Amino acid sequence: MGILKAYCSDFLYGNKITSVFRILVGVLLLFAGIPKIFDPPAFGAVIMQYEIIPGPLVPYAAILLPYIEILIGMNLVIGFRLKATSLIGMTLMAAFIYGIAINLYRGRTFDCGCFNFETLGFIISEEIGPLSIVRNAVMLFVFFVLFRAHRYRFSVDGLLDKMHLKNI
Amino acid sequence: MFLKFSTAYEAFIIIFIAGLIGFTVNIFHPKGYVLAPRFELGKRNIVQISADEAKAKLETGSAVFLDARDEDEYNVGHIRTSINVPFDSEKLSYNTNTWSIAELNGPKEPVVYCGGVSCGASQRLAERLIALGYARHIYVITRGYSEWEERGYPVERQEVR
Repeated sequence: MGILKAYCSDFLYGNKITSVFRILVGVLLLFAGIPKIFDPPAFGAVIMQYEIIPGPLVPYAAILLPYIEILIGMNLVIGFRLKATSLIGMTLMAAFIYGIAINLYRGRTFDCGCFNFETLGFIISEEIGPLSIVRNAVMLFVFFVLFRAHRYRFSVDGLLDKMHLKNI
Repeated sequence: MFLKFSTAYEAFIIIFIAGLIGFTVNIFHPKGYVLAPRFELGKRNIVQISADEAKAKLETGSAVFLDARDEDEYNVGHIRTSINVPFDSEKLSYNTNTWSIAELNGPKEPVVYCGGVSCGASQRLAERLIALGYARHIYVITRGYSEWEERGYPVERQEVR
């Protein structure tokens, strides 16, 4: 039991497993973000379905969101500015969870539009439901761990820290 | 402290960069959004037409002609059946879904004109109609009354009193 506890606190402090989760979430975000930039109006239609932001703002969200996903995905993979990245990630995931939850509460189901590969030739359709909330909650948790972590293995941030310490 | 200022600042920078890339790409994106100012969208409802096209509209009776010049010029001569609505006219108003100029309430489309190419009153009247809430197309005769008169299309002259 003691070993498990030690391992958990090591995970929260930031070990290799934390970094593996970080890179996995990063890759997932890249996969989610990149297809969306090929057809902004199609993604705008997806955002419109959720009915959580006012119509005139939808184009701006449709243009901005994919690039936020891609940038923080890239940051996660290379491990750059991880505190700020995980802060954005937490906000984003909270917003996604809110969007899905409120539509489930309204009793509506539709394609979640999380991974839209239609432009690339294949479709992963997933209706919004408890599963999509769980997936976003897991990602929210990973972001939270990263936000609180003190050490980032295999990351540019870690490398910069090492160089900084060497120069002192 | 749970959140350091520097972290929030970095987060803001990341979102700013995302926005910069996103909106720049959107400008050149073949399927990108057109983010136009509201007044530019309004101008899309203004359609420039020639005197010939305007005459076709006059003959089919599908249009109501609005003369944007002032009264003196209107009295000298105007397109047949046209109504004098100087572009700064106070007669022009829109109250509870009813235009003060009754013809605008019907199905007819407004055709606006003024003296010539450079007079600008027709364009301003069209813009004013849109600003007041006219939602359908407004036709502007680009070369105005001078082209109409040159072609010898039907005009009316007011009796000089």
